[in-house]
Amino acid sequence: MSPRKRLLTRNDLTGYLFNAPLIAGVAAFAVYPMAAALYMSFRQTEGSVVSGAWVGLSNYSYVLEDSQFWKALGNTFYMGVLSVLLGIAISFIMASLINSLKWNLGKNFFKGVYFLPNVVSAVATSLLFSFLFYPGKEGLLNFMLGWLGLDPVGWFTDPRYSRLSIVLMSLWGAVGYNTIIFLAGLQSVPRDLHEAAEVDGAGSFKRWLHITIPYLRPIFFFMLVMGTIGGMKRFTDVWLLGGTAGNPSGSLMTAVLYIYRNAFLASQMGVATAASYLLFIIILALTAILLLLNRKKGGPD
Amino acid sequence: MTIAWRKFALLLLAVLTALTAACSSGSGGETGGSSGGDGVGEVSDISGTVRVALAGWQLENGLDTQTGKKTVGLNDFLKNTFNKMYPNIKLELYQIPWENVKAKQSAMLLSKDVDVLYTGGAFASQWYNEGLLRDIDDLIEADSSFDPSIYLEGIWNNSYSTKSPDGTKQFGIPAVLGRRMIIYDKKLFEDWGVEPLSDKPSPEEILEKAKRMTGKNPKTGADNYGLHWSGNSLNGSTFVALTLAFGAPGAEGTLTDPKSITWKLNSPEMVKVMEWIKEAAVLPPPGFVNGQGAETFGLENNNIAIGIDTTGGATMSEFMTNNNRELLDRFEPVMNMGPNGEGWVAVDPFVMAKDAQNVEASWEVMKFLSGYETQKYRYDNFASTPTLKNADFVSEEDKFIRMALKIAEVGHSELMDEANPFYMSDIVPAVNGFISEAATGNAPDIQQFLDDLQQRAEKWSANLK
Repeated sequence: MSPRKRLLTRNDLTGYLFNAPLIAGVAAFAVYPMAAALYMSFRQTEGSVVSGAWVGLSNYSYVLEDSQFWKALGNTFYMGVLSVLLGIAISFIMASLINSLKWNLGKNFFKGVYFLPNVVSAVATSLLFSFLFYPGKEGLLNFMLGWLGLDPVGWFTDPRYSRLSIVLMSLWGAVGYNTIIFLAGLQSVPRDLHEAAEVDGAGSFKRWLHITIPYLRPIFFFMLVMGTIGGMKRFTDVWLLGGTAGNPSGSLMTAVLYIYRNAFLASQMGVATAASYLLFIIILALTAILLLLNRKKGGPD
Repeated sequence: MTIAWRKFALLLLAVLTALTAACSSGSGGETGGSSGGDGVGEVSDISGTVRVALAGWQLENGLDTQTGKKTVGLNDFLKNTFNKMYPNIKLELYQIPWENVKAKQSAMLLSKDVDVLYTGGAFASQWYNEGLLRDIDDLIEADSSFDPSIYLEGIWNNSYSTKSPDGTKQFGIPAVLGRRMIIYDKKLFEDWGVEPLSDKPSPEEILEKAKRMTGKNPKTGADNYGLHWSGNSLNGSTFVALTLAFGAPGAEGTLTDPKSITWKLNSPEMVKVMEWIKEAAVLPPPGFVNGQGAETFGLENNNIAIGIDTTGGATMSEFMTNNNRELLDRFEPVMNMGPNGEGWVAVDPFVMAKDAQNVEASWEVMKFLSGYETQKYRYDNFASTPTLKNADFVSEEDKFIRMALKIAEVGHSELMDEANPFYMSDIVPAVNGFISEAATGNAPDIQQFLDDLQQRAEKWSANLK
């Protein structure tokens, strides 16, 4: 009969001790704020104070019945979906083109050039684009449209174009990062697969379509999940350009801007945290759906 | 490395060192504002440590980015003044950038890590309602050396930034005023043959004259815009001025008890406010929807006839830098649109934390930092607008600050104010959204828009238990 195993061995204790700072950090800075936010979402809070009268699901029903919340969610989805799909498609094509270059210096040059916007802060990007997309004929883009005899476009002032303009702006910043990730993936595609297909008479486009793309499916999936999460959290650029109204006409009001308005302008932390948890549930559901879709299709190899 | 190369490298190093030294030398450049301290001696032996959180104040000496003048940081100013006057009070200064200042100062208040704060008026008002700030009536009463009458009456008596919502308690001292006035370009008025604005222009007068000056300038042929205001203003100051002008209070009640506020957002007077906005929104340059379009207002190439809620900062900077008196004469400030020339006036106060560790010393600090000497220092170095009745240090030429003081003198806070949570979270964004739609000629039905806003406001109040 083997001796009874002790509940905690010396090794276990040492392990826990080493992990303690990290666990304490996660508990204090991640678990506690999440729990406090959940607690606040059921309370009528006053300002930043966590306590307040218990109001049950009242904050949740207020948010769910608020047309502004649904409008914000619609805008978030619209810009998120476009940013993710266009971002993935463009960066993958760019990565493939860069990868096919035979000239190493050129490869590094393009990697650097496309990655550069990624190190520029969202604030600087928004400022830059507010002048590039200036709605008058003085704006750079409108000035160029003028050469073609076209009228100035209200890129950020006309609700018909504003969301699309934000998508274009975010693509400028994100494409470089996605391209680098795709490039890393492209370099890991085994050469023998390509060589075998080449022997079988497959052209470069067919090989790209039937070998490269399927092989990179996990990377596409990673991009899709991360892009979806990032897209649902869009805030800085729309706030800087559209203000608290998400101007023009509320077309740039996103879910996080709605939360910000309630939390920091109206000091209604209860409503804001309820909206945060609703957004959390939506992101969780979207990610779960994507995971399920990926599982149904099976692994890449 | 050859000897010649070494010599060359040494020579280059010497030149670079000399250049660096020359650039950092204190003799170059214009000297800046005062650092105070003339004839200062000890005034009190009160002792203790006071922790002060300052939103946006500059602690170290630096340069004014617009005028190139040297500016004296708060540390140097205090060394020459406060430290001599109160040698036993130790100050712990925390400089907090305006970005996200509310979250940071809220955290300091909640963790009881601060005694005195300089902050935005709306934040102060909200903290007071949350019970995080201390009333200062007892301190004022016990201190014969403190004279509240030195401050502008309109601000001292009527601002949510320093007084409790019911107006019975004082919790802050006004330290810096926001500048918002109507400024018009005399040259454009002359070009178009339009009568100058009156001293207290009504919204109708502004609109009528702005319409006449929108289009191709008859003299220069340049595109002119009759009007500009910020279409995405955070505090909706132009909307506030219009509600005052048209007698549309928007709500009745007190911010002490927000759930008891009676909303009157769809009143006939409010309809008039929105009708004015609808007509006016097609006159500014299109960028105004996102707060752009007035980049050259106040300067040589200006193409906007009337600017609402502007500061005159660009013109004053030009005057300070290049002594450009022509521009100073060209741009003329007038009162705001309220019946007495009033508009929305921002006030940034000094306030004391509810749990201040050393109340006596904190009071001395608060008093000093919002007093005459400090306001003079702030004006000289950073062109901050004072809150004093007799701000004799304001330069004769600075007609913009003088006008701001006149507007503040008749100022009063109403429920359409950034201290009102629903106003900030919903009313201002809704009005800004309306402006952006009206700017493209697609303004929604005004009555329906206001009915919807009214309904949302009532629902918001009902949600407060």
